[in-house]
Amino acid sequence: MQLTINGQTYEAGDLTNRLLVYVLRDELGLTGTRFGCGAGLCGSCTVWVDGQATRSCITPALQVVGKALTTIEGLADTYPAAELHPVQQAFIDLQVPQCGWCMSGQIMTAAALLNHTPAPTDEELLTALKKNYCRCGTYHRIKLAVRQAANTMGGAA
Amino acid sequence: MTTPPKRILSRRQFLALTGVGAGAVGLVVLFRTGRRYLLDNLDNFSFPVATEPNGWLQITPAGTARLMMTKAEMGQGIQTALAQIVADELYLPLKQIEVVMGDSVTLPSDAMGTSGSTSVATMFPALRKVAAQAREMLKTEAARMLGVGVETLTIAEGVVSTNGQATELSYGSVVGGKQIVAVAEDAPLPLKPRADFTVIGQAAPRVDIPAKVVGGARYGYDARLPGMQFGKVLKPPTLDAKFKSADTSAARQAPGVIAVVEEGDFVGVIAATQEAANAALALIAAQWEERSPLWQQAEIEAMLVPSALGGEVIKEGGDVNAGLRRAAQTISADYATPFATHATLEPQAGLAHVRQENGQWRAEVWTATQIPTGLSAQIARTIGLKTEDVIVYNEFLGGGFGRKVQNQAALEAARLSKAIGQPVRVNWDRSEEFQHGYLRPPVRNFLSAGLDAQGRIVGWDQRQVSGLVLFAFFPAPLRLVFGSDFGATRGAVPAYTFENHRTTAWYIDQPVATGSWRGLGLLPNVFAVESFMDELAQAAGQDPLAFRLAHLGDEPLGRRLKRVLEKVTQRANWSQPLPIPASGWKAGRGLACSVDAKTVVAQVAEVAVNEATGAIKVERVYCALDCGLVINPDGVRAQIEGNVMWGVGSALVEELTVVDGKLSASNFGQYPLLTIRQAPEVVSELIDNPEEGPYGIGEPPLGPVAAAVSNAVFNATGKRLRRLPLRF
Repeated sequence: MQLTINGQTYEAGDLTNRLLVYVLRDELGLTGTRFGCGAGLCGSCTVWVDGQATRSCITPALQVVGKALTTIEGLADTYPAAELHPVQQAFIDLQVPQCGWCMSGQIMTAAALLNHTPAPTDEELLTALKKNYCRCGTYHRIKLAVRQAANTMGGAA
Repeated sequence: MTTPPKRILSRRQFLALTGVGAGAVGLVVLFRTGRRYLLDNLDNFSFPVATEPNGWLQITPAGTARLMMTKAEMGQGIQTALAQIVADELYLPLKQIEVVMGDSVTLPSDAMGTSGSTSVATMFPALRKVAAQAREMLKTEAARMLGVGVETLTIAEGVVSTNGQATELSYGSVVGGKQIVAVAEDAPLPLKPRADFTVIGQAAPRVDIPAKVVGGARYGYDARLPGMQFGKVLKPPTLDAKFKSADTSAARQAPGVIAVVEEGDFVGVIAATQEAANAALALIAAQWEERSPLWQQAEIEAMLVPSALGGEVIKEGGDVNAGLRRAAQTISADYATPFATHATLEPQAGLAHVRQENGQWRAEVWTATQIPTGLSAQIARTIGLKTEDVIVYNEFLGGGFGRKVQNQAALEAARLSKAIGQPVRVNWDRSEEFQHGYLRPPVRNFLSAGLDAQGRIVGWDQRQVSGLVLFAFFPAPLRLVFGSDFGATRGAVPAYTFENHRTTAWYIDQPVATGSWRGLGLLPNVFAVESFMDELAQAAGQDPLAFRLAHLGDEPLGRRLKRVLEKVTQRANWSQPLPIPASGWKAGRGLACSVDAKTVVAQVAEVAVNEATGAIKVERVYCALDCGLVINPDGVRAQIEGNVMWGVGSALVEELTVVDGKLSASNFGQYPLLTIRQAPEVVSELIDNPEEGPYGIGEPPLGPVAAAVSNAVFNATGKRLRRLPLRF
């Protein structure tokens, strides 16, 4: 069976009873999508399905056949104006990651927010990100970085 | 600072520095002394580091230096900090230092691992010597090549100058792929003066961050090999359950199953996908002999009392009983901290390939561990191999926090792989992490203190009781040697100058596995000591700041503590009233301080409390910190921020209990972590004190957090909460 990920078609094998997170990581080697809880609670595994931030650890792979998937490995390509997506760039500029395990999920969630809501209020930002845990506690910098990315992308702060 | 081990430097010593030929990354180890840490100078749990350059550094033809990294990168920025130290001593820009994450065989061995906030403190003196020796060897070789005296040479940005004139030579061309061997005399090694540091002290961008924002960083959990299979191992259903038997027939027939391994109470399935392994394990019908009645929280909590006999006095001065007798008033309180877990977002991981080649067993293991050296020996013991036949490749750690000093998943993977001779990966899921790891033990502190008529503490009697922390990892006889679990008592002894004081510690074996957790006993003990100091200040009718300052001495540590207390209260406008909070809310602020790993920290927390709903919101935490010389100021700030969040999580939300023989959470639904919505603003103030240290930073800022928050809640409401997490 085939999956469309980051604009490419992947041969993904038999997807019966398979979860998207394991197909991405174990079958296709797209390990940038991280496993954290297996229950859709921590956000580490967040990818885009047709542009919507989605928890891949509770998503049956069969459900996304024929849809456009975007993972952290392909995020930069969705923003041709720069080498990196502004959220990624801001996370570097503000030195956000510590261990980094949750960061793909944080970045995919934040970038999806800015796609839909270019100038989020504090409340919108916190609501979008409150289900993405960061155990190292980089929350303070995440807030600053998402605001910087919003500015870069043209949304007012 | 650690003095160099005599065994190495008290005699003439051969030194080697290996260059790397173009295209070939070969490492020639001439002498194995560079690969060993010596245990003869144990100082604050730090191990002296051999300072022969070979094994630690390689010089490439391009003139960059490769630093072999024994410390695990788990988000604390250690790769960058150690690279900064080497860059300065080699007179190279930071971008010319390459960090190499090696394996357990080729890396210099590191018995300390990455724990206890010791990496920078122990590696700063060691790597400076390593780099200085390398630099002097390079200069000597350059002088020979140029036919000039070595005293005419200087180095800047890796380029060699003689009498101030730049030459064609750089580190790369001096080594040129060969190996320089020198005989070191006992003469003192010229170290770059601290005042001349140009890389150390600058906010350096972390070398590991770019890969972490594009999904490219490789963690233990990400390890893959062609033909890899997926394993999952049966776990006991309740605490103390003993394995009787298992019917594995259904699992063996399940789709995708390759093998079921049964070795006594070790039962595991191996399948072609993770989903198939998970599903097959669920089909195993196992019989267990469970404890009757099952363990419950109340029974476990009842264990945490100081018995009349036993207990180890860990600090005593003056005459406590006499002091308490002459007190104008005596205050007593006890404080409790519950079980908590690490919840590293990357669970335990191990990929093992154990096989026989030409009759010779060999194991390769990819994982994320805080102690690669210890793990290879443990794997060897578990599967009956020699340590030298086991090689551990350490990847990035998706969080460590003391959890990854033990690597159960890697051991399981090694056993399963050995059974089938193929690569098997065992990546734990979240419920295994919650139920089958080990926890921060519950801690209680029973405190009594006497105040004289002037409000001065004249007697301090502290009885501290904890489940096992470091004793959990030690062979039992060592308990007799140490007397108290020095992990559990971390942070327990107050840094104040009390005339009469005594701290006694008890360790308690419990049926729940406990062990190292960020800061060990630091947060639980400082929560007790610094909350109690606030209670005493209140009883003495004094301001919490003035009361603390009055009980600090004029010795260097006391002066450093006074300085951070003064700095943090200035920054927080301590003497000014807080803004009026929203209707229904009460505002308050609290102060606390602590010493850990020689780093001193003071914090002010600002909270808003809604007594009707029980909501506590931590708005802001100010932190002043003195860790001596600061290597990477932005890295220090990041550690302060992270520790504040970690501590606020403990203060407000984190708790595990035992219910019917199990822990109360198997996923984040029952054990939520602090969210971005609950995250306070963090304001950091670093004290300029570059003549001492550097001291630890990964855990010390955690010390005061819970106490500062609790003291703020008291300030807001007049209610003293003595148990974490804080609840009305």
